[in-house]
Amino acid sequence: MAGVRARSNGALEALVMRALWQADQALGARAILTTFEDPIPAYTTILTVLSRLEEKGMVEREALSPRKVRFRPRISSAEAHARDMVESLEEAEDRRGALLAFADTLSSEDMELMRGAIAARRVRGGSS
Amino acid sequence: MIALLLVLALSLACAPASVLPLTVGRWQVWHPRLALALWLGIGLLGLALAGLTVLSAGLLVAFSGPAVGIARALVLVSLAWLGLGGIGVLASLALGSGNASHSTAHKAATTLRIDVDHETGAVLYEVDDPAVIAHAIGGRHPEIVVSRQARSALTPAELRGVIAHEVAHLRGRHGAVRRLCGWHASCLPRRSGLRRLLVTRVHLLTELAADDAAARAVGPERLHAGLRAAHVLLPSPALLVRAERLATRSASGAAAPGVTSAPAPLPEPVRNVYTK
Repeated sequence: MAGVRARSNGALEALVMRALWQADQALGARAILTTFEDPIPAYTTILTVLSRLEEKGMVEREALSPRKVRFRPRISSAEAHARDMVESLEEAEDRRGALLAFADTLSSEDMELMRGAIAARRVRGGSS
Repeated sequence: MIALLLVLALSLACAPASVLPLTVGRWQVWHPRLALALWLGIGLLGLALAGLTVLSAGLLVAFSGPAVGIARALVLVSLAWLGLGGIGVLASLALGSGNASHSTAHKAATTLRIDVDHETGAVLYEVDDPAVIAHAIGGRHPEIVVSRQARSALTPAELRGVIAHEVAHLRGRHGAVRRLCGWHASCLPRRSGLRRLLVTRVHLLTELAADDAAARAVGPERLHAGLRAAHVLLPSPALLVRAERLATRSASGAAAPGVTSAPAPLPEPVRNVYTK
């Protein structure tokens, strides 16, 4: 049974979504399977993953006939990543105040402190 | 009991006293990490003393026996509650009350995952937002966000300086340091100047510490160029004064240890993404 759980559910979903995003048309489960490298998951696993993605609103089903079902992505790759990021931010309460911006503003006192320290060092450097 | 009261007073005094290394003099501008370490050290000492007070008061009540007077028992229990109250405030803040801050990525029209920095484990995102240069978000799932505008306007060398600054924030756990600062500030009187000074000073020193670490990683000249280029893209006097500080430090020959004429490259994934 080696390799049965070689990938997490999240990783499998990501690989299925990638296959759908890269395709120009809707794909069936067998077509999706051909995009996998080892370990290749079972056909039924791909069907389960597709059902889960459908429930999440990530893919939509195209039933040409009861035995011929294809799937296409409902959201773009960029939208999916944006959603992923927003969700991870929302669940992370510990991120309060953890945003560290490159172009953050400084208080007027701190600006004065910096200018004073720079001027003092320049004067010292100039006099030596 | 007097000794216990003295220890409690000492632990309470640590809250304002630990702000002193951040506020007295101007030396912190050149040694931000040392200033932050002193602040944290004194703060931790205060916390340890508060813990000691609680423990001692609890033990005294437990082992004083039935002969203990009501007044004395009340004072000891009050002392323990006082100490526990302080620790409780810290614990509740540690668990994270209030609203989570929202990243600018929330407002962005599109967010694109572009790479992962394997050393910090941070996911690199690109956002389409002219109000952003770059920012890092610490925590269990660290992220670095760069705007598309910055990626297209800055040269690869400038961009490396910017990203190195954000990586330094994550490596230095500056998000956690700022949260600690928030807890510390809540122990000080709400409208005191000391409280405001503590928050702004920790903010400044984490920025400067990240600048120093980035200068060590990619060379001060790259970070200097990154700061100036970012100012052109998103004008901010703070960026200019930080660039000026780097230039002054390099000119006076007191560059941070480890700065060499041939700066060390950034970790491979970052270089792959930003070297066009």
